[in-house]
Amino acid sequence: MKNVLTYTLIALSFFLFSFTKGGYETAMENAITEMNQAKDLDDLKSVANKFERIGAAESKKWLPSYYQAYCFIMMTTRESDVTKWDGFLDRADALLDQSQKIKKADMVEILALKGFSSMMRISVDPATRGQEYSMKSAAFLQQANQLDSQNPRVNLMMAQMILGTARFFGKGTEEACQKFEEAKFKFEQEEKEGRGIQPAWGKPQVEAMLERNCGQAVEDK
Amino acid sequence: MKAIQQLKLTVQWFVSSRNILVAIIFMSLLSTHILAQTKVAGSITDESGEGLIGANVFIKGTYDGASTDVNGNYSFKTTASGEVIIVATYIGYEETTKKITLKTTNNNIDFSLKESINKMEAVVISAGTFQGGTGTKSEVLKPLDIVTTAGATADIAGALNTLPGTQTVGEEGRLFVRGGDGSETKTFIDGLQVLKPYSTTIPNTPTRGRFSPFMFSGTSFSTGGYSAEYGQALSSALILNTKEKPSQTRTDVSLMTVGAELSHTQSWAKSSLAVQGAYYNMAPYNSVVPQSVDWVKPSETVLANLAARQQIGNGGMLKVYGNISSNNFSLYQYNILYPSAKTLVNIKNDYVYGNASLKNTLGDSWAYKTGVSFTQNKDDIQLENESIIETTKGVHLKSVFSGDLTNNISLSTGGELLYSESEQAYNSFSDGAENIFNFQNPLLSAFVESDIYFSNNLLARVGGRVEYTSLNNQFYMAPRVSLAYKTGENAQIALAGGSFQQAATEDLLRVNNTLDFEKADHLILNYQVVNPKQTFRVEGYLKQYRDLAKFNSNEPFNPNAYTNTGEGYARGIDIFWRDNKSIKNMDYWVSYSFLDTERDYRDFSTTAVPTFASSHNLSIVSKYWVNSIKTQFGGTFSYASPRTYNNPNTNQFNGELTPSYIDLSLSASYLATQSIIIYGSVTNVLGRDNIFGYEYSSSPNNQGEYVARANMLPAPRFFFIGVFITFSKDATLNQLRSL
Repeated sequence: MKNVLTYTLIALSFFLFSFTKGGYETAMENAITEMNQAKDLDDLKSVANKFERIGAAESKKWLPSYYQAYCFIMMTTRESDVTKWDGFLDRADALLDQSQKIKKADMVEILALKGFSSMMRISVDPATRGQEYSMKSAAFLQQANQLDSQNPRVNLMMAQMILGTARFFGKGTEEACQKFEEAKFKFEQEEKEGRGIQPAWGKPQVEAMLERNCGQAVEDK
Repeated sequence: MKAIQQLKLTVQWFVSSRNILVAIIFMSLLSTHILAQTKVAGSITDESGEGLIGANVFIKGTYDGASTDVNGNYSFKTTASGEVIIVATYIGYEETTKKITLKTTNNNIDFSLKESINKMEAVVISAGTFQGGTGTKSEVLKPLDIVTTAGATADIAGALNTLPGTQTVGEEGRLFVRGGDGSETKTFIDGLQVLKPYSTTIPNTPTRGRFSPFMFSGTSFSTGGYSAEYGQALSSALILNTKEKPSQTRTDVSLMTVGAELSHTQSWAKSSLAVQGAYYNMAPYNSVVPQSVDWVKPSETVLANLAARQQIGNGGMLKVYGNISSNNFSLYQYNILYPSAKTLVNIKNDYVYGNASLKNTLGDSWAYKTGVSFTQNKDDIQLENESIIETTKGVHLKSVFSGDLTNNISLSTGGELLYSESEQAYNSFSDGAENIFNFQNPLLSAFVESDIYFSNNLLARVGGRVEYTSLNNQFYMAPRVSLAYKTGENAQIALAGGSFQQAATEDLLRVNNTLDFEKADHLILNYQVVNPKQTFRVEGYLKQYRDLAKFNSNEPFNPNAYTNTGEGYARGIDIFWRDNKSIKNMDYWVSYSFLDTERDYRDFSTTAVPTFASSHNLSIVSKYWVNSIKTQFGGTFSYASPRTYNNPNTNQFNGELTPSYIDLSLSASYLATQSIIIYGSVTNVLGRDNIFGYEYSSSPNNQGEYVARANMLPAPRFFFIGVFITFSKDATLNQLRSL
């Protein structure tokens, strides 16, 4: 009996030990799934908290703060009071600065998010912020594009920017649509390769943009 | 994956064990062990006990934690045991940790989070200051506003003259603030003083600032009670901050009715270089629009600008800026008493300004800023029988250290060396007289100032500066205090007071270089409500002048006739309302200033209202964007009540009043394509002949009367048309370029 108990305890400690070791990926996978299913502001806050907890325990990983930043940027899309946006975006920018300091951080992904964040700042007060933040956003995206022109999220953000400009000047959306198509193609390529816990967001956005601005129906899943 | 393998091994071990009882015991042990996970629960509230929704709480070093629910409660299970650190975080609140020893049963841990001081949201020092381009809530006038204000003709001072606290002095173009004359407003670029910031003009022609509003990302215009960092300004400080490193390579071309500008900006990863050349010539304009001035050669200016930026280390920046210009014109001046007698006047101005500044961080919470500026101005005035050459040179060295002592207390301290010298060389060709007046003024100063946040709602700024000049070997102390209290989410009340001083103006110091500093005490009470698209502020002030320089107009070159016995006061109320919300696509602001002032200074024979002061000033500025034609229309209405002037035929000094001043200016900016903007404006659409005062003959006529001539603009209206073109590699970048 004593023997059995000893074995049991050894096995148990092995089990628990290994669980915490391999837990990072599992925890990230769960959080990412939750993030993709988030419906409202509270869901996003809760999943941002999850990424914060993982990040606090894994100080050498860049992804938790990256995803936390993404959640904060997405909060703007679920908050109708634009005066609250700066608070979210300030937090997102600080997290991205923190993330890029970590070794092996993917600068292309971080720059794409920084471009996204700057773009959302414009919407807070387009008349006075348009100039400053469209320049900022374009600079981040150009830098990202120079590092990797194939990244679908960078392509998506650039297409978004071209669309915004065309809209402002009352021009046609052909150029933007072509860019959205390119981005969509790159998302499909990426999907085939599989991403694991690496950033993979953006495909539904591209499809929505194509449907809304380029007269395309969303493909059946 | 590893976990699953381990589990498989464990299961295999069970299967291999023949004792099923052992397995059952094990299973129950395992399950009880899982159930025996420790439960942690509690609530997270703010300091007032209100539950915070969506706050994060977790055990440090593990993934175990939870978000709070709608009541601020949380609950989670953890496999951790013993002594742990529990962390609670929430956006806008300070991260709080608690060290506890977990009990095996239930753990109840409550947190009360303290609101973090968020300088974007917190109360700000508002008394006296109009912020622009800072992004903070106190921002009143944005950089773009300067360029799009009708009547301002893209001049910084022109746009600021539509704010309360300023007096319309239509023939000057400089900033006259709260009963102070133009020399009492000082300009600073990146914290460094600029001497002679306005171009040289003839009397009755408004001057323009030498610096393009496009250079600056932030403008802070203080009409009193400003920070101890700024010295040698009696009434007002115009603090301009240059743009950070531009991220785009671009070329800009401007073609205007008054000249042309060409600039190119090259941007690299960590540095940038911008050069600009400009040429202005008023001759073509003057030949189309009749002028009452008898020009021989209308104003011609050549100008070059250079701006370089280099990022240093983590967040550091080195900025170098240079401005060099040369301007000349000549005209006939007519004698008042004998209108046929005219004198040829040739004026040439050469100007050089340069500054270099370095800012960087020292560790996490401290930063330093150090810089040097250099100004040299030369006015060469040639009359038929006389020559006057005035040269001014200045150097300003300054270092500032700032940082947070604690979360709630920040400190800023620094030292400055301000050196200026001025010389006037006068030559008379008719009698061979030669006079040189000059002075050198080295000035050392130090300041310290602290911002103390008692909460997000109450802020005090306490500081002072000490200045020493070897002109008269004197020390001067200037204490400054401000308080601001947030009375509502968007409303606050603020109080500011302090002592301000500056050296006497250079024309007086050249005659007597031992003159004392002139002094003013400010007291300001301010209330403001700043909603995202609506701003209301009202400010009352009291200003007492002491030790103003005085001289006797009968003996202007006798140093012994100069004293510091002048004094004066100014008091008034400024009201500002800006609304960007009520009417779609319409942005407008209304400024009203009431001023009551009298002073005895310079060559005044008694205490009187100075000629630049008007009791009532009103400005209404509006901008309306018509999206269908991509055009912004602008209109500015200005009113100033009558000003005093001195009629030597009467006994009362400054006893007469001019008619009131009225101006309506209109402008339109058309965004032709992403990279081309066409701008047009016209001042004084109504064509009113505004009279700023009267100039009298230096001696009486045959009837024993001094003869008057009205001071008016050379042309009632000013028309302006310009085309601004931007070339850039990526055409999408040019959208919304400032109009």
